[in-house]
Amino acid sequence: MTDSISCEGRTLLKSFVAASAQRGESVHVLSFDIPEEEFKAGFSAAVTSQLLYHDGFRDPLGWTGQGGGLALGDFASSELVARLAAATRGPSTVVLDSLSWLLLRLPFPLVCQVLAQLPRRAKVAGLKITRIVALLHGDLHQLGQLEALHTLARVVVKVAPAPEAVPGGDGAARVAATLHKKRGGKVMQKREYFAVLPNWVLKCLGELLEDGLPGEEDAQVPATADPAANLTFNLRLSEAERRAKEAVPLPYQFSEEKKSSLLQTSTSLGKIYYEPDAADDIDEEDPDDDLDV
Amino acid sequence: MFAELSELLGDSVERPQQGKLTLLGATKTDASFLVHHFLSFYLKAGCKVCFVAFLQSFSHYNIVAQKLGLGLTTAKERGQLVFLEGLKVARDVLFSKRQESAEPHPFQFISGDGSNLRGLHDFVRTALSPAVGGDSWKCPVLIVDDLSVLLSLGVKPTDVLDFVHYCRVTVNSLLKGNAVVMVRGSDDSEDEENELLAKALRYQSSRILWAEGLATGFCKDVHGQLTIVCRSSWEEKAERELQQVYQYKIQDRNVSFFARGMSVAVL
Repeated sequence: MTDSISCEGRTLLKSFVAASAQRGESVHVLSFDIPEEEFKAGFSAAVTSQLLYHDGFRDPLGWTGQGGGLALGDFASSELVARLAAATRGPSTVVLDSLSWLLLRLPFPLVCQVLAQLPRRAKVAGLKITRIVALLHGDLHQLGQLEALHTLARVVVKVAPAPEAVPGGDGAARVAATLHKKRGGKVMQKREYFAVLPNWVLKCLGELLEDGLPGEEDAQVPATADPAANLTFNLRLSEAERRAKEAVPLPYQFSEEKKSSLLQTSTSLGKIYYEPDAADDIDEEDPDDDLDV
Repeated sequence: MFAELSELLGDSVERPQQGKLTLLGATKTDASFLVHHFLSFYLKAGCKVCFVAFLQSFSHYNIVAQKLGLGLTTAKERGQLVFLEGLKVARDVLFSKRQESAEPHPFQFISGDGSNLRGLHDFVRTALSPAVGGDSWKCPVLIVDDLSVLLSLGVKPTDVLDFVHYCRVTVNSLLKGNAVVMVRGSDDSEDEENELLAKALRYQSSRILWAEGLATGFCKDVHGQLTIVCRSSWEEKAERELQQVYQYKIQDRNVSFFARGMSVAVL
């Protein structure tokens, strides 16, 4: 999931967390960007009980000497698996908030390796990771790194602010561009409006059409709607009108008489008849009259 | 302290907001008036202030503060203000005779490999931690003017970000205080490190004040425009970003703000 300065994506991340927790999965949160209270703010007690918080905000570099939290050095697949497996057994979601923080401080290949290895290693340890959700601040990284991460990910969601004239509902509407690589090799691309309602419910406001206006709330409606309805002019033909239209010869259709009139060669040579005007002053030596060269 | 500005921000001297990181910045203009505002504001509000100044000397800030009706020297004597004068301390570290003093110096990074700002953070922490006997100051405040100087001194942007991160941990999260940091503007200066720093800080801060010079050039009556972005927290309903743009004019002892195009000179 990629956001940018102009549009934050943390609310969307939180709604994913809430959705996973409501499915009954345990959610491991590896948080570096914001303190624990701020992340947990707004979640209901049921969601919070499913959250397993690994605090990487308090002391990631070991400057203050408080133990217990997640440190930068712990971000390696074996350590992470040990940490995660110690807590749960059931299916779980791993949330990274944010990947940018790690990418700025760790070598890029290492981060990619850990991300790729984590589910497999966890499986060996008896932990089922159903998905990894990572928040990435798109404009902090080089384009090449972003592309590499996109190839690693199965789903890429890019969040952007919505244009002005969108019915927002309760939360401010934003645009999410989704790139979903399915298992069969099929790739789906979608641009949708969404809003995060209170209680972290994700509300889809319809797909973004090419002209930049949102589609109808219900995706079925635009499919069956008739564009020719409610027009001020007539687009349809009655039977009589159609017959009349078909009777008109088209310019490239040659009837017999048209053909013969065109193919007839003129018998006389072309002549120019010229009657001089009274005002005309024909000068043989200066046919161009007043052209002063 | 500029009354109009604190009104725009919704701050009051009696009850300053807590736990916020404010980012100040400027493109094509000078935003130091914002620093002076926050310095005088928090001192008037009775907060304990740690001021890390890289840009100017103490006497400069003192003179400006005096114009705004505040004595920095007395605040320092009362223990309300801890002033780290970067210009002076850096010189001490580099040219002092005494080698390897017992305690690590906050500016050790200059003479070292220039990578670890831990000393500076430790300084801030000790300065702002409440005294054992308990003092009467309100929430602690850290003001840094400005972080971009660190980059110029050869510190890597990630190290500066680490420093800010730990300042957020200590000042905002643990001590429930405020932090105000300043960065230099970076729109067309091809300074990638500075740009990275500014962008990363924008993600972290809860309030951004960004001053810009006018696109049309300098003007006698309008000195620039100020963009204020507030990220309201979850409790205040929906994390919607509020963005306001004002134009300002710096006067002798005050700064007046007005909506765009509504300058007295224009109307």
